[in-house]
Order: sequence, then structure tokens, then C-alpha cells
Amino acid sequence: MRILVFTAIVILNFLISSTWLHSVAIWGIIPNTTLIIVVCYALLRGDLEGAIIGFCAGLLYDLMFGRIVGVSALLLMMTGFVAGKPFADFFKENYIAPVLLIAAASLSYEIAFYVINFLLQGRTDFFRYMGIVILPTTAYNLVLGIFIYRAIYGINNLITRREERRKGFLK
Amino acid sequence: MDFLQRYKKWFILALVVLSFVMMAFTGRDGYSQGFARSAVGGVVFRGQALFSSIGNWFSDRWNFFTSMNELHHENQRLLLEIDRLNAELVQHRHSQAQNNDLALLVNLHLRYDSYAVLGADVVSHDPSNWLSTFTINRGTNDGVAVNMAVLAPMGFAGRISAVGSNYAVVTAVMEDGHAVSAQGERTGDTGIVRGDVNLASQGLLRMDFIDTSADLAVGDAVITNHVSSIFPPGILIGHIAEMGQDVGGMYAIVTPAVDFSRLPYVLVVTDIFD
Repeated sequence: MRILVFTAIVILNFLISSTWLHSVAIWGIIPNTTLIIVVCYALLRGDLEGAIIGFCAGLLYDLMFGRIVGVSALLLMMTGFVAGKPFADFFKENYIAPVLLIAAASLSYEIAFYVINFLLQGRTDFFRYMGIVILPTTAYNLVLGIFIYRAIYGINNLITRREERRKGFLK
Repeated sequence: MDFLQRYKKWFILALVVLSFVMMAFTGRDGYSQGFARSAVGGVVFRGQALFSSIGNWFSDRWNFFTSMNELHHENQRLLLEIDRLNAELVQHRHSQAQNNDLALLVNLHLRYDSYAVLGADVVSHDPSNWLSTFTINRGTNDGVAVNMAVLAPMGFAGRISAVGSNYAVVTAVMEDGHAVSAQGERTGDTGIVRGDVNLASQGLLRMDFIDTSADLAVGDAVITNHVSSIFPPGILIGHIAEMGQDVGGMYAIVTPAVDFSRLPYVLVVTDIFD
């Protein structure tokens, strides 16, 4: 059930982000909704499931648009794995932890993406990339992350309650 | 899940190794024609096409109501423009006839005065802020192949970088690292036009490797030239907005002829220029 719902969410997100999201660009910058979803899910479900959802979402992007298949899969998997790790004990109703985590994940993900796809191809102009792409994307992710976390949190809770009810019924 | 949880370390390690294996098999130019790529891409593309058409329907409705007044003014302006262009057309026809006569005279062989083209709708865009890649609804079924040139109505748009049976991925000229051999139309001075993320956010391109003795000026048209092994020569890329000099020599900032933020359809040149 959970697998089904979140597979649908990941695919739906990919379709929307590649077709409609460009119309909500601010100064040509669009938020990375895939990353936000992976971080939120990892936060709620732990490192293993975070890694799996990150790997799948990254692979989907790679197969359609990526320059090198596997780069985004690896990066998002690592993001999901780390995001699911030490934060499991945080108060999940609290917004500060997830929002900070989304910001940190965006920053490191975008920097890693830059290093692999641009720096290694001789684009050493790091600070300009930082100002024009990395920081604006992070800021946009941070704001949008609040709403997406709220939604994922709700969906996850709904599924958990359903599962518990079913377990109780079987007993 | 319990099984995976028990062997978590190994499972994660396996995923990492799998990622690297895929990277290794992608090939040097970045886009291999892997089975998985075209299989997954073909299915995902159908979803994108659906979402894209729904989005277009709404934006059409929205535009219909918001642009009435604007359209009226534009209509007035265009009517005037038509008059002016008609006058110019007469002159143009005259010089074209003259040109043909002269070309025959000097036995000039115009190799690429027309190309076979194929229309395609733009369906989806890369959802990251790094790449200027988009997909179109034509694939190998329609005869599209990797490295074909892609034109927009106003000029040069990019090249086909990957292709599936029912879709193709286009790398736009705006994409960082994408380079096109080009020349100034007026003077014939050559250079390399390339995309740059920093300029792309302002909708601009950069032309490098211009000879220091070049006679390019602001406003000059920049076109593809015959040095390129894959693109047809003589296609408008844009106009020079700014000239400058840095450690690499002369460079120019080029305003592309194509508006990439609004690009509903493109033309694929199905002739190969190898």
C-alpha cells in the first residue's frame, strides 16, 4: 500500500515537474520537488527506505534527461540515506528540523550535481554558479518544502493508521 | 523489508555499485541508446505528453482571457508590418532573381538551400535548473536520429541528444557545455557559440575563440557555419549584444534568435550533414 502510493507520488511528481513546473519559475529558477519528496519521505521512514526512494526517483530522472545515467540515482540515494539517518528521533510534528534538513540537502545535492556535471568538465566558476543556481534553488526548495512536508506527513500518517487498524482487526 | 533491514549495509552498497555500473555503461558522449532508457523513456513520455496537453489547454484558456487587449494592439501593429514587409518582399524577389542569375553565372553550387524538416511539439523540460534539455514527440518511428539539428521558427534551437521510438531528447543551444561552430553573417569571422548556465538565466549565449582581428560589431547576426560536422550552415543563431575581451581573447555575448522560455514546437532537420 505504502509502496504503491509513494511510487505514484514519485511518478506524478516527475511528470508535473517536467511539464507544468516551468510556469512557476521565479527568475528562471524552479524548485527541485523530487529532492524535497525524497528528503521528507526519508525523514519519516528512515535511511533504508529513504535510500530506495531516492535511487528510484533519481533513476527516473536519469533515464529521461540525465547526461550520465546513474549520477542522480546515486546522489539522491545518498541524500535519502543521510536524511533518514540521525533525525528519526526528532519531533516529526516540528517544522524546523525538516525545513533545515531540506535546505541542507538541497545545498549539498546541488553542489554535488555541479561538481560532477560541471566542475569535472572544467567549469571552475563556482561562486557564479552558486549565486545564480544553487542558492536560489535552495531558497525556493526551503519555502516549498514546508508545504510538501506537510502533505507527505499527512499521507504517511494516513497509511500508518490504516495499517495499524488492519493489524488490530486481524488480532 | 525485514530482510533488507538485516542486510542494509550490503543492500546500500549494491545500489551504489549499480549506480557506478550504469554510469560506466552510459558511454563517453553521455547518451547511450540503452534498452532501459528507451523502454522507460517511451512509457514516461506518454505521461508527459498527457500532462503537457492538459497544461496547454489551461494556459490557452487563460491566455484567451488575459491577452484580448494586447492582441488588438498587436493586430494593428502587425497589419502595418505586413504592408512594410510586402514592399520589402518585392525588392527581395528582385534581388533573388538577380542572385540566381549570378549564381548560375559563377557556377555556384548551393548545397543546402533547403533541408528536409519535420515538425514536432515540445512536450517536457528538464526539471533541474542546470540543463536546458527538452523532449519532443517524434522519435525513431519518424526517422529522427541522434545529432540531427533542431530549428525553431526563428532560428537554431539545438540538437537531438537521445532518441526513443516515440520521443526524442533535445539539448538546447543554451545548455552549458553545448557548443556550435558559428560565424558572423556580415563579416564571416568565425567563433564557437556555447551555452553557459550563468548567461542562460538571462537568456543569453556566449561566442568564444573570435580572432582578435575580427570585425564583428554589436547587432551583427551570428549564423551556423560549414565547419560544423553535424549542423547545416547558414542558420540564424542570434545577434551580438555585447563585445568584450578577456584572457581567452575576444568574445561576444549573443542574444539567441529563439525564445527558449516560449517554445511550443520545433523543426527537426532530418538530413544528416556528416
